[in-house]
Amino acid sequence: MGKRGQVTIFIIIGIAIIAIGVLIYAFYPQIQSLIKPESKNPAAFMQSCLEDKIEETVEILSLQGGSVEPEGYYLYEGNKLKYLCYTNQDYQLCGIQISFLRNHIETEIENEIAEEIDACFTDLKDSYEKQGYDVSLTKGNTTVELLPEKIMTTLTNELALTRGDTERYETFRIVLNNNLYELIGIANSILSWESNYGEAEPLIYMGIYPYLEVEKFKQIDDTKVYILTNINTGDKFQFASRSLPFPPGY
Amino acid sequence: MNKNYFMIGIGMVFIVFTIFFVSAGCCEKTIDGFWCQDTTVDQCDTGFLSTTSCAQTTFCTSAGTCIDSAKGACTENSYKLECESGGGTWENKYKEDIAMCQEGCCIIGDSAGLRTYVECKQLASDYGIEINFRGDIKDQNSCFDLSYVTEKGACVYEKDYVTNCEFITKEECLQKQSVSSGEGGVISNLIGGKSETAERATFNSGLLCTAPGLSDCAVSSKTTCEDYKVYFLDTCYNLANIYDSRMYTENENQWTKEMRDYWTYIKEPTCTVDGPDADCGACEFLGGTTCSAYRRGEQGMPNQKPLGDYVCKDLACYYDVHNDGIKEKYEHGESVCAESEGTYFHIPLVEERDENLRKDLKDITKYNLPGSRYYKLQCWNGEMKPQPCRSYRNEVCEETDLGSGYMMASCVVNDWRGCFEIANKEDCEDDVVDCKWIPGYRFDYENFKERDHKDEQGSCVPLYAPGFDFWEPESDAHALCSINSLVQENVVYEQPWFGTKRSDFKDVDTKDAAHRCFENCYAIPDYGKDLTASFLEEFQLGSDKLPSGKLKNYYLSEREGYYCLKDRNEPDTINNLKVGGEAGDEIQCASRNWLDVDRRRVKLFYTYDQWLNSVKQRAKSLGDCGVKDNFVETPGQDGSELITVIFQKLDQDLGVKENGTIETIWIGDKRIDGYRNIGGGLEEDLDDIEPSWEYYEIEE
Repeated sequence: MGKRGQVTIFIIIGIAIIAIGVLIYAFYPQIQSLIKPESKNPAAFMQSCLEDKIEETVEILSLQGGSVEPEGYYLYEGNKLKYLCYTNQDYQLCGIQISFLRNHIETEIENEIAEEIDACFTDLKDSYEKQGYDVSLTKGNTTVELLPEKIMTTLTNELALTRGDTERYETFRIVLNNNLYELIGIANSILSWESNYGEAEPLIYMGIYPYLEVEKFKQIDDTKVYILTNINTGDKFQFASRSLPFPPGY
Repeated sequence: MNKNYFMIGIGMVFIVFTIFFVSAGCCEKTIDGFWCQDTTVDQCDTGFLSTTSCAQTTFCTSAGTCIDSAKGACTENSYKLECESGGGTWENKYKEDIAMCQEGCCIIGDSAGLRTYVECKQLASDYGIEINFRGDIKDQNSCFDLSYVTEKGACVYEKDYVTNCEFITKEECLQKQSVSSGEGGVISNLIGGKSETAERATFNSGLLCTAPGLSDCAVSSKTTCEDYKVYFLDTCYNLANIYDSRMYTENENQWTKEMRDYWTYIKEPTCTVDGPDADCGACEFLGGTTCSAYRRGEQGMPNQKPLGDYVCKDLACYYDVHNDGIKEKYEHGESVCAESEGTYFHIPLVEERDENLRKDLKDITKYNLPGSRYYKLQCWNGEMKPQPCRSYRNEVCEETDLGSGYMMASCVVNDWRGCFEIANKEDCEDDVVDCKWIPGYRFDYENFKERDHKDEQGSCVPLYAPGFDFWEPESDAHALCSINSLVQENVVYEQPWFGTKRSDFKDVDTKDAAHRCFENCYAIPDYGKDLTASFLEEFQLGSDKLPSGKLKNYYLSEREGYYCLKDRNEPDTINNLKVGGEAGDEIQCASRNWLDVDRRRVKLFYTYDQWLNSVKQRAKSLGDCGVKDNFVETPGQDGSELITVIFQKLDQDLGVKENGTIETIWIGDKRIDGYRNIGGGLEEDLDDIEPSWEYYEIEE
């Protein structure tokens, strides 16, 4: 190959790299904000900074019956499934182990992301300061709410950005699309059946909610593993229950 | 030290030790993290209350409801301690009796669910909409039916001087108009992020965006999935009515009034779906069809191509339940019992059973084997999923045909424990119980001797042998297996006056032993060989009918079941009997006491095979004790199913003078050849001994 040929190849590669760079820059605002946070959109920065951590936490919670470090669990396929209803007595109905599962999960998420929130705000502050802003940040509260089809995290940290004018931000909301709210509603209903009658019938739920798959796996000690899956989104919530256990023998 | 004080001290230490390590009571929280469990003190993390069960306490009873007043959530069967630790208020009442916990139908947008009023109010607030709570609707299905009743229509609005149309609810349409004035809900403002500039919006109830004169949106053959059905889309990608291939054509001249109306007004579909369908989009999820992208040749797809990209897919399953290489079809929602190894396949419901089921299940070597488990197979969404019934065969799978071959299976509790409470054949084999009757021994060892008690002489055992964790050292199985599977039997027979050394026993064959037998002769190997039990029963109870040929050719005793009482005034028990003896052509009692009362009794068994089969059936039906071959045909431990014999030296009053050693004569299904040659028995003369006793035991 001649020198002219080599030059042509290098030019083509160069143009391709530039084109890809332009495309990424033009069509992925999130990537833009990671590279350089927009001064007008600190909310987008926080959403981008926190959503992975929230998603990861939610996934862990969903696979472990709603607790990050569950106590009183059943080990199922490598996951520690929290017993949400439990009795150690043969032929006895179980008692609820977490009365307000939704509140509990909300608190678990809040605790788990607390450090990440501080880190994200620090990054946000540094980023704006590098751009010449005078940044004032006052720490506020974090509230996580499980809502239909989404998980909303509200941060009440106050942020003031001053460079000539002052821009103030008092509330940051991070939203994650997720069906945990609905799955917990089903889980609560199953637990009500477990604690009143010793067992729940998955078909009842799947008949009412076609998007839902409810699996029940009876284990050797009469622990029941319930796996709830939204077949449209793939969101999952699994937990254990032990109610009305029959022993081997009397 | 005074010896008494020392002993008291030892006693105190023992008592303290016992209380500390053995006491059981209610524990607030265990070291494993469970709230309110009855356990021992060493398993307790906090709040151990000895001698009291949790159910008897106020703080650990689960018969209450936990209330979150702020959010209006209520949880029943909560423990007081756990509830209060989570910030809730606990009330010793059922949920139904607490006003705040009453649920109604909460409608948010086009979805609905049962919630308390406070929960619903909170949700409505989160979404910035008016609360829509129906306290009169209490069941999930009725509430769910309200999910999509919100009135929809064509919402026509102008945006940037262009007329647009969207098929949405009236509320959404009005919101479009108000968005520009900043009256949107919290979430739509902050998250939705849409900044509409509609100046005015007109809601056309009951009309589609393709209605003439409304907008530029036109009919199209495009379809989409919505609510598990196939819908037409217009050229603006608005939903139209349910897809019906008869309602669209590319040929302008073929459009009828019915077709135009179908694209003008919201209409119910006129087509129906029953299986895979490329022409009608009215899929019924519970009926076994759902909307799906068309993929030719895939399971559940129709053969022909639809107008758009979506069809009603059949959700039936194809599965080889019978393991014969042929996949059968099962409808969506249908369930069937799996043919899992070592179980009885396809048990019908109680009311549909015939006598063959009990007959079949008596084959203890084929069904309900150790390790086997019943499974239910559920067809759902095109996939056959196994659902295990309770382990240890505490549940079995039963099924029924609901009509036209549509099967429904369920895991049903195997109430094998209840069988032991039944003491007669009729109740034991009643259709409503899953037990079977094994004639012979009773669990209380009572031995009825009269014919009219025949149906009480036996054991009621589980029809489906349960599983035990016999391999666990602390298991209940050991007690169950040893108590209920152990049989002791005494055989009485007369020894000749000469040659009665223990070592000579090897020369006495079982036929001779049978001839000399007085009592429980069935425990002598080969006893009753070549004869039926029913024949022997009649013969031994006084029938004149004798076996054909000479009696001595059979393994049989003419005197079996013939007794005298030692004391005619005492009850007819084993302690008050004397066996009969031959005197010429008569059978007399050994003492020849003129006060004796002779009689014949109903026997437990009449042949050796009958005895052995009964004992084995009973023992193996009681559960898994490690003897039976398991469901993958791994052999059991033969060594624990055995028959042992011990020779004892008796005096004339049948009292034991001297014991011999125990010798095994039978292991599993194998007789130990030459067992009579085994040494270690009584070697001295037994000249003065008549009769002698054999002691048998069988363990499972």
